[in-house]
Amino acid sequence: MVDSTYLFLAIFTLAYVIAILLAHRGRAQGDGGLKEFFISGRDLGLGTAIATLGATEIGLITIAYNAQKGFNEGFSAFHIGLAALIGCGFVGAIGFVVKPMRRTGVLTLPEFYQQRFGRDIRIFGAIVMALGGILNMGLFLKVASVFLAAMLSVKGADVNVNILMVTLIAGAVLYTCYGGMRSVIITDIFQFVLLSAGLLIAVVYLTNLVPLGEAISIVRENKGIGGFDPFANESFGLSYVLWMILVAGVVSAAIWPTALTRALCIKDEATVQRAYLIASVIFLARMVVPAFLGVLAFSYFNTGTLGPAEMLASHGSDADLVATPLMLGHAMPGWLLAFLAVAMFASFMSTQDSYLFCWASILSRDVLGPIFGTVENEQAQKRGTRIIIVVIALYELYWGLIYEGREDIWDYLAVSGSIYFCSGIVLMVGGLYWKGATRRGALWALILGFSAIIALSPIKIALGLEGVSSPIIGFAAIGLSLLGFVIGSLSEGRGARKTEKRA
Amino acid sequence: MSIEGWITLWSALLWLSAGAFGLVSVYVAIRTVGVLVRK
Repeated sequence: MVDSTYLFLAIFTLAYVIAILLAHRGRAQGDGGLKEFFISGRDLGLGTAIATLGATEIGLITIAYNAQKGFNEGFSAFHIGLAALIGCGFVGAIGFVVKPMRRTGVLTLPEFYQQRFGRDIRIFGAIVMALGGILNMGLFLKVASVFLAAMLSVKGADVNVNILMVTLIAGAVLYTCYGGMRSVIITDIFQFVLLSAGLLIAVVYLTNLVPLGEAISIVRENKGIGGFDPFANESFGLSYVLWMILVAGVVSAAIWPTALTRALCIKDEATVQRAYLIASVIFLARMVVPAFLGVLAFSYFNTGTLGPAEMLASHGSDADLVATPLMLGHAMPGWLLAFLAVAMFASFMSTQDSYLFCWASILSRDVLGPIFGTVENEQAQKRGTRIIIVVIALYELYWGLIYEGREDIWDYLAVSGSIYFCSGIVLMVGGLYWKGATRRGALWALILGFSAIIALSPIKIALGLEGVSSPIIGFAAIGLSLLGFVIGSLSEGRGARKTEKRA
Repeated sequence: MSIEGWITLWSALLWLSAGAFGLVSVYVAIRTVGVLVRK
């Protein structure tokens, strides 16, 4: 069995590499200036914009954490997808943040901070943005490796997770350094189609084994009302649902830099709004389809006839994370599993390249650039971005080995991301829509928003705050940041007006 | 909402999601091929 899986894996991998090379031929322009390198020449049309938005936000990590949520919480995990649809639909319907941000003409988001609040806020804001983002992607590599290794292990392939981690990250670094944002976007189109096909084929194949009606019965029997009603589920509740509308919807689409940067690459404002509106159903699907795979995995190992329970039990506390890949490996024939593994790899690459490029370009252009006076120096910017990509990749390897938080992967992502977005949402929205916003307000907002770090489980435990939920800490951090922003801006505005009067 | 209500809602969202993946993928593929052919 392992031989045929390997053979098909080799064939599909070769086909994937050839397709990527063909897609790149003559299109990855390395000498088109900073605009070409950072925002792909700002020429994306509607189709490409939707594909790159979708592919960036559907990584193997997305599949893994949603599958884990579906396995643990049943159908009630689907509410995260609904929240994403509502949030992203709202952004697309009125062009919230994305449209005025595109109008500013900036190349990176901290550049907007400088336009609006000054150079020091650009540097400080970029550091907070990159810190939250890099912490956020800390588990991408490890989770992807564990997922792929578990999937292939069922067919007898003994894949070493650490070696797989090194291989995956080396591939992502080489490819991202090659052609900048253009390189990232060209392959996003191909990868989006491939991973959508892979996910749909998996769902169709598996629902033939475990029909939807049977999955509903098994979840009902084992999880009760909590398997369907997110308000009755002990892991969710009202504050969690509201938190999801903010995090999985509005923030993911309009505040999170990897997504918002896409708005900067689109050719005009009208296309920005249409792209986000259409992408809102992709934001729904990226949560619901993988969560359904998790529900199917739960059902698969609870039918008593399909999935051997001892296979799952042997993974101990990681059982919820590896249940879906184990099911895929156990249920699917070698050729289909090989195709799915390549589609999963494509989804890993499409997210990994965007994230690596996003944080590295922000650190290079908005931290090192203003400090060393190299903002408009093309060679220095490209070299700096490439070096930082390698450094972030090494950190990812390290973090994947040492982090031992207790939360689900999705909750880790929401919390680590909130280190940036609790102040980011205040600065972006306040800066774009409130004329009275000032530098002092922005500074206070950044400092107070950083309090969201308390929700990371090792810090929460150290402070004895285990009883306080992460959504509550997140909302409190946003409230504090907003308060600092308003009071700081008003006090500075009043001071400035008094000075003007005296003068 | 009753458990049946939730089941109906999640089933509808599941099919909407699957349809969205399928339709948007086909749309993106057709537009991309169209652009490549025009070039």
